[in-house]
Amino acid sequence: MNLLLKIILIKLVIIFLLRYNLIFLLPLYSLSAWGQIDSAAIKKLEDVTITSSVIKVMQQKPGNVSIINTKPYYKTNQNIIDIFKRISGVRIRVNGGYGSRADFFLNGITGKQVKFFIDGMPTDNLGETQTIGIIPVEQTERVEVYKGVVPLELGSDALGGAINIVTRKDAMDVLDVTAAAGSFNTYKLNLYSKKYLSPKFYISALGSYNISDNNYPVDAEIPNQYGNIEIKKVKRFHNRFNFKNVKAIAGFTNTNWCDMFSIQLQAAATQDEIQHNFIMRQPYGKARFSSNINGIQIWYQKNKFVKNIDFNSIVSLDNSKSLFMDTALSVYNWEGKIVDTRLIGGEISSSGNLLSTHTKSLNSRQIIQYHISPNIKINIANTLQYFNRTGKDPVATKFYGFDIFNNPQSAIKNIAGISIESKSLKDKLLHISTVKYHYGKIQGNRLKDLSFEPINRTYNRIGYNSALTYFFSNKFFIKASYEKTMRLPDETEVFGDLVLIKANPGLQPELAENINVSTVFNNGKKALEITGFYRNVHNTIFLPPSILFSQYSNLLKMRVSGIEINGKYDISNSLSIEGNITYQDLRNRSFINTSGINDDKYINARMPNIPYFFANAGFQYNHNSLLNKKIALQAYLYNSYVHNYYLYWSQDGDPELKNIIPKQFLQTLGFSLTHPANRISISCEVNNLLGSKMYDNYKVQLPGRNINIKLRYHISHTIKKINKK
Amino acid sequence: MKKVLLIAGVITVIFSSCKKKDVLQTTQINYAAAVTGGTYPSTTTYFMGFKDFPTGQVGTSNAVELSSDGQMFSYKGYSYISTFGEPATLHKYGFDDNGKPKKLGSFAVPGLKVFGAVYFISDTEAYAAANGVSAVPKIIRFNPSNMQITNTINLASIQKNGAGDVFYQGMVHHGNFLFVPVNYQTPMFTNLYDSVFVAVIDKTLGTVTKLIADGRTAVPWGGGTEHGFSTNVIIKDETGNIYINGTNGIDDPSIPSGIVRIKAGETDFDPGYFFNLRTITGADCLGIYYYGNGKALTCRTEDPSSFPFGGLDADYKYWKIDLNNISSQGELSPALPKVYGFGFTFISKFDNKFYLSMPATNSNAIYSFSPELNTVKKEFEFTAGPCNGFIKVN
Repeated sequence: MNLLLKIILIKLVIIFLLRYNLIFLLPLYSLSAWGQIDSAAIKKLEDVTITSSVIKVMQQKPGNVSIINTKPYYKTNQNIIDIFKRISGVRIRVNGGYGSRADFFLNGITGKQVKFFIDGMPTDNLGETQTIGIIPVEQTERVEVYKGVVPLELGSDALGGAINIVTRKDAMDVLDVTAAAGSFNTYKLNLYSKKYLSPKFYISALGSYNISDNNYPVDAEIPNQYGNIEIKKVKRFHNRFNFKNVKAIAGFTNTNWCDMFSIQLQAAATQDEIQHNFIMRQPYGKARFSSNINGIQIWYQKNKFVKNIDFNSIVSLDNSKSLFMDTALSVYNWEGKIVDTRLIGGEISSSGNLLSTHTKSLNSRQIIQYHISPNIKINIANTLQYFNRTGKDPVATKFYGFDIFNNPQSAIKNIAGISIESKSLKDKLLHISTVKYHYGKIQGNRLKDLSFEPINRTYNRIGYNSALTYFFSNKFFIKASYEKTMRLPDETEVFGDLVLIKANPGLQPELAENINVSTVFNNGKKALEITGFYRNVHNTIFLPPSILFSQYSNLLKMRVSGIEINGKYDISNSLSIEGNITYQDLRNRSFINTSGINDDKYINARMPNIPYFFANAGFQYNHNSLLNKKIALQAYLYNSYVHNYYLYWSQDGDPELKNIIPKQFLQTLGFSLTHPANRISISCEVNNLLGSKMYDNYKVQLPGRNINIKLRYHISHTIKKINKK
Repeated sequence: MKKVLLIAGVITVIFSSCKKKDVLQTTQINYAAAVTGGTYPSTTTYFMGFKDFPTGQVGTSNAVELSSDGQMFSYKGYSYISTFGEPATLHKYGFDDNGKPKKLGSFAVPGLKVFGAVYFISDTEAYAAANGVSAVPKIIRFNPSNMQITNTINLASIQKNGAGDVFYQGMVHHGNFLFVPVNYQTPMFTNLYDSVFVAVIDKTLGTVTKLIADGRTAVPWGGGTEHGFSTNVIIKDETGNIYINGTNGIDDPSIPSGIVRIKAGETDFDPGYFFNLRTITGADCLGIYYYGNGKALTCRTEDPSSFPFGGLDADYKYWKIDLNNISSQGELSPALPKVYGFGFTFISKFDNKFYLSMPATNSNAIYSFSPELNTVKKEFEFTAGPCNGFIKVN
């Protein structure tokens, strides 16, 4: 079969699946169809057409979702955080360089209200090694950001939205090796390999080793011999971050008994030096945190498991450990010098810590899809999360007289739901309605009269959502969605920390109502999406400041409304431009009476310390035959802007004398060159091109201008023979 | 002629403009205050000045916003604010020509978490103590004129095994000695000992002379000094006698809140003096605010079960006591609302009046008390939150 005919056939298949809305059968779960045709062209289609089709279909589905195909980024120096930062409605605030803590804001909602998933499995209790922000781009296929309404398949108590990383699942033999080096002693190695030992059986190995000293210069406050503060430019000296992981996968595809079955073994570890306190005034020289995980995951999928029923199941067992070390008696200044010595305790805590925790967790998700008719489908999904955690801390034990961390905690969370999907009005109207049942049980101990008293807490709540898409044409459609949802309190909030934070077994779940309305125009060359959103959040769990003891309580109410505008324009075959603007209006709706404060004046006040206006714009240039030698050039310039915002309430204080997180205007310039046959590429990128001083959090300075270079070697071969059943 | 008049007119206008420019636009600040502003999840301290004595409802539109909560002290018209968060930092504030707060200097000490008690002896001698056991145990001696640290006093010798936290609750001096009440807490925040401790420090040598203890009352709670505005637990009268307020016992509830004394010129507790606040006033009391001739104010709890930290609602009343006669003189004024006792009450003294912070459940007012006239008057109200300090600058 010649190449042109193969391409036409593939396109016809795609059109067919789109026409009859069967596109969900596509390689989200199985790539078997593509193995029938072997061609070098498939590889490009694999990279572009299939992924683009999946993305397009997902974006057309009811619900407010942003999806980014991460494959084009394999040859660049962009990491996952960089990709997320350019999504409308998403704001990420980091505390430093590579591996630093990243706080995600989705339409202003943040913290525990945003849930994270990898391949649809929640990562809540898996520790730092499974943090979204450090997953290598080369191990992913796409990122999905759900703002407001969270689909049934992502079973968790997400209040404001969810982020799902879909890991890479190439449907061919692949060897992909990247090596990168950059400023601040940053080095990253990544391997992705997959080999089909037969048309239906494959093995895969992934690995990554990333390390950075993060020793970028900052302007730091250093007291002189009189205690007077002098500002000096120094390098961060205790900020190294190290991440490594390996995965081994064996799987079957497209057999009589499965569309896909795989067993994955994983091991990962991080080591993190903690450089400073909250506003970067006091440096630490020894405190560190490390974690590791090993686990097994089994994935099974079969369409038409029985007649008209598709079945998908993932189960994972993980064993994770962490160690928080804070035992240094030395007091450091920002020059890395020891300036004093404590008698006891640590740099961060009064007691000092050598806290090790051990968590065993089970995550399980099953989805059944029942096709009642070509236009109606019922989905039933169940996601179970269970963990059991123990800890010990010999250093804190010596301080307190007993081990307050030897306090086993366990929790079960089960989200079960049913949804109905339908198409009507000649497929112009897509609709999904879902009901979810949230069940949670937390078991632990609280301290009473210096002894542990077991307590447990159970939650039962129902949430629901409904969403629709209406197609005026295949280029223009509107979407609308509504959700009533909740977040169950976690073990820290219910049990406290046994010392300064008291238990509060009476804590109630956080509640939210989310509404989204979008209009979308996309003719392939031009795309414009305008979304309005509204969030009404109450019962927000918060820890109020207190002189001594405090307690998590349901204290806050907030209302969020806003607009996002996304646009893309292919100016030519080589040049494209895209951008987005987000304005989100977060207003306090809490009536809290405390110590005579007249709280009425804060009703409807803008929530402090949360960015409310930000934008991104990017230009991309592609040239496939540079110097007539078929070297592909990709050059890009990304810009991001965040408007300044107040650290505290806007109506308090003299405006000229208030604390501000200053506006940011950040540029990233990069290019990549890909050798003929698509095997070798080299890329170079400059971040923070203008070397501006950047702050995501108050007074915590981010890296200045930095350069990264990356080499990539990539070969792939299509599967030669596929016998479908 | 017309030309002459025109030229004269132009010259007049020019000179008038110059004269206006030569007149400095200054705003003299005569009063200063610090308040806690904001509501959950964000509160911090605001510091501001006033040309005229405040009246009515007072906001923070002229205030500088500090980056974290702060505790205010004052000395000779200047304000000193200790902000929360490591390293312990003390800022000195004045006001610029436009009446806006202006930072005049600061010093920070790595290893100390936050300054809790600041005490001034002269324009060139002052002391600051930080709380916390995992901090480096020391008191800072500094020059308030130029905000430079001049010495440190090592407190390692008064640390105790089993203490989870150590609080230095104010300071006074007499002669060559500093007297610093010390509160030892267990890691689980109970009293390590149901006693009041005072560190006696030779400020010339910069060393601890001894640690004295008295079990007739229990730990002091309140880090104010005569230059601060939080609950004051140590005062010195005109004769040089030093009085220290302790709270009730935890392990031994029979131990009442009370006041012990160190006689002038001595460095040990006076065994012949004990003011049993519980018995004499009818309930446990917190703080001493001295106003002369042996007379003082304290805060008496109306809810003994929540003493000394208080409950969710305001449950303290200002109470008059006589230190010399060891007697109670009753409630300061029935017209005054109940207040939050711990951490919020303060007294500022100027113009022969005491200015009382009244952080009540629904308001944050400043009342004045005239000892001469024995009258109480509501002066003004802060809309932002509880007041952390109010002084007369000029």
